[in-house]
Amino acid sequence: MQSEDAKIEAAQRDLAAFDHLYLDYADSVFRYLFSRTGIASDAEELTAQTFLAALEALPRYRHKGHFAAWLFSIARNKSMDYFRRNRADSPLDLAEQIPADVDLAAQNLETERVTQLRNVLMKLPETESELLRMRYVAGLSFQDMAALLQRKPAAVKKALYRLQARLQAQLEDQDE
Amino acid sequence: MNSPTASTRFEIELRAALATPNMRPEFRQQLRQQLHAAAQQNAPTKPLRWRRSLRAAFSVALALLVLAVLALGPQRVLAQVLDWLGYVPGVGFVQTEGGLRVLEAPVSIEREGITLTAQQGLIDDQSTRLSILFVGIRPEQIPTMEDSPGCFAQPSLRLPDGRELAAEGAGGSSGHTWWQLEITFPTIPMDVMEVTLVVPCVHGTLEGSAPEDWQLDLRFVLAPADFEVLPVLPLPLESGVGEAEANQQAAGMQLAVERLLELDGGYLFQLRFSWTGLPYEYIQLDQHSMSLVDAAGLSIPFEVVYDDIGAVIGSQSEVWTVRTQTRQIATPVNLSLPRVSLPQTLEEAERPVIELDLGDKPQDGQVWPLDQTIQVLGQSILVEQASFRARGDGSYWINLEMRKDPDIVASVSFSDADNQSQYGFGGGGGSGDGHITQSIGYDYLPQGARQLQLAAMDLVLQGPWEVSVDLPDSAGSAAEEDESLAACITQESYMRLAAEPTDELPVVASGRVLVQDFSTTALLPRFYLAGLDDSDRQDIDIGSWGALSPDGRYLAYAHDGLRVVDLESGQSSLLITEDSSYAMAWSPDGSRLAFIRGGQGLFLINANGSELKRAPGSSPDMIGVAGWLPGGQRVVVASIAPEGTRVQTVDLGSGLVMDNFVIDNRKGGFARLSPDGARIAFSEHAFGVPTYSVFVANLDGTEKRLLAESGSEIAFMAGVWSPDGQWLILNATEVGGISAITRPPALAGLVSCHVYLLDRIAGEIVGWLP
Repeated sequence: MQSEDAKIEAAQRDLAAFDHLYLDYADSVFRYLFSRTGIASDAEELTAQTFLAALEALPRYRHKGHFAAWLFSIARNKSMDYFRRNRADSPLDLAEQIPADVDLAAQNLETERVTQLRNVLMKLPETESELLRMRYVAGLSFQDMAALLQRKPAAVKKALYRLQARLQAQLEDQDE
Repeated sequence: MNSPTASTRFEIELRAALATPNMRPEFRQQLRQQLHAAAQQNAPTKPLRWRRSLRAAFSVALALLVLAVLALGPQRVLAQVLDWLGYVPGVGFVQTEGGLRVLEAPVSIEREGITLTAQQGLIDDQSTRLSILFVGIRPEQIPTMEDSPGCFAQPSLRLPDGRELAAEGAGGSSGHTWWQLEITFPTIPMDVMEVTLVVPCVHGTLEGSAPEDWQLDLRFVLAPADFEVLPVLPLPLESGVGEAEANQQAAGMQLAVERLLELDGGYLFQLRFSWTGLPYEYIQLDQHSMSLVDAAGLSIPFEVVYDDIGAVIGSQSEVWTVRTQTRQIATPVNLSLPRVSLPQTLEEAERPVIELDLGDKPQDGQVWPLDQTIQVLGQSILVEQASFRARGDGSYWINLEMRKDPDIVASVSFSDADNQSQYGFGGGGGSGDGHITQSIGYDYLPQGARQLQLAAMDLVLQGPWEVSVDLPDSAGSAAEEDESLAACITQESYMRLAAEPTDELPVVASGRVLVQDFSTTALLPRFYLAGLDDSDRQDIDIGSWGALSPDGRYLAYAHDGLRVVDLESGQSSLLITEDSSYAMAWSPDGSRLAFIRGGQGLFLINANGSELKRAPGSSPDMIGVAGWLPGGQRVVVASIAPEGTRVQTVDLGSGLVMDNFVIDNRKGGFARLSPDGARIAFSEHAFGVPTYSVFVANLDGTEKRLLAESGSEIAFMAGVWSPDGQWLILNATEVGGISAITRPPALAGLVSCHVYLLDRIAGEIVGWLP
């Protein structure tokens, strides 16, 4: 299996090889953009914009080792443009927008607790929501998150673990 | 199968709550075809090619440096390795089972005026460590805009079979013309002795401005037979919880010494603080707060060597290393950690809110007195005021100033729930007396009513946690204080002087001094002239970097540019409008000024504002002016370099730059030349002291002595020499947080070592007229 750096190098030599990178990241980019917009069609449009922009910029790409951060920074910028165009102050409430085809039941995890957690997540400030999206929707490593947020990985970890601890405590409090 | 831990289960629930649909297969394929078509249309006309290095060229200066190191001969190499490579994060101790390999020789390549050198390398069973240096970077190649961060692509090592080892970590330092990196890679397989270092770009430079795709062929050899590695000494490991045993919350937390090493002239202790099984993902601790006390009760100075190893997430422990400078330690030695900080989870209802109305147009420097006391987790925090800053880089900041009980509350963190900034940023700090500040940043102008919510808080958990270590028989008797290292003033002696003020001042304390008063509400300090007893004040203006002309008539300073004011008439002249001039120094005849322009180096200008020019021999790495030498043809400057700060003499006629010596300081050294040009005062690390201390030496660096030893609470800095060169004003600052507090200066005799507190002076002394 080719390493990611090898795929990038191959794609920079021959853009047709960008296909490999697209297949690696298409789903995670879409999921990330859906988590921001809440609308599947808009997420698809933004995903297309992201990958077309990445394809165009790939010959100039130099951030070896942080390709995911580079790609998701493009995705993020596209979503910010989207919100500016649509005069949306914040991403739509996720719970209201999940289409029926999200098969949570298949994971046996659509519990009342998950529903409660979703309600708690809706009230989070954007910066905290973004931390969770990067980690659990986009699946980014702490290194990539740090590169995106221009913070040290340790600081990102600390912020995320602190947030999780708080959310967990909130849930347990509600359970009582 | 083990059940998932509580945190793992919660992560599963988080993922479920954040679940999103997958991409439609039809859309995936459709976009795939679209991208393929676009790729066909936009095939690059200039395919990238790796450019192989054609030849290696040696940098003479760097070769000399490395040859000097190699010429040291058989020795305690681990200590030297630490010195060569610096304190490499996460390295710890070398594993020698497979043998050590070292870089056979430094390798350099030069392209378009920039030289890349692989300086040193070491391979053990665990990792490959490499030190590389770029020199010759030009100012125009460095980004000036914050949104153009420059190239930070990580180097890699290419093995003969084509595999590439990506960097696992890197640290370094930089000047305006150089960048040094110390990089850790995975270990290179034992059967591989030659690799290629692949560096995508010159670190920190603008994309396309400097040569890219560097490659250096490196050759490693087995470490020579006399390459001695210090053994880890057997330890009667003991760990325990001291008085904290009585603290239920501290039960289960342990401090242990894991490894002990003998060094040339000292010991290395590797410590671990663990909280296994306790409900904390991480615990904050300050390694610098530790103490080492020997069997005679003597406090042993130490330095934290690997203080950024930090916590390994999930391990519930933190590892770090400390080093002593002496082996004359009465055994056993006791290592003690006094306290740690525990992160607190605040329920929604527990989070107090500060309401702040910024109005429609908050102004830079605007202040809102609040004086609100908030209660959280049974603790009171006084929020004294909020202030607003608008920075030139497009960021805006709300700064909160607060007071809390430092023995109970370690830190607090406020956030604005409605902060729509793309990135979350902020920061804060505190001093030992409980005064703290915190900043909340915005990448847009915040307006109107803000709800600032206390989002996080750390509480202090008192220890101490203590562990005793029996040192080998080679340890000597109790350490004797080396009188030659004794300072004329320390933090403790300064505190004693401050507690017992006296009106007595030496006869030499005559004349008038230029004072920078930071107690004003303006953003800049205010200058005034006064006697050393603060008598007969003459207010001047607000500004910074004040320099009195030799005849005392004029003051050069920075305030919206470079200004000169006639202290007799009050007439002010603006010589330069740009706001990057600093470190002004008058020539001995008062006809011109030498100064630094940020990022550009040493400049000269006549006192009347004419003939502004870059000084011959100037380099962008010159960041400070220590003073002019008698005769007015040479200036002593401070330049940042990979090894620290170089004190250099610049001949303004020929442009020749002569190196004097190197200061262990990466911020320019804050050097002050004596009036006769024979000696220099500067800031440098004294062993075991976290802040810079003040040293005095001859201009060639000989006869260096410690004059003022800073501490964790008081930091000294050279202010100004007396006109006769026999005394030095030491400015003092209370440190420990973002808000440094100016304390009264001290006057120290270079020969007598007598010290007087100038407790009536309300600021820093930066000039002295006879």
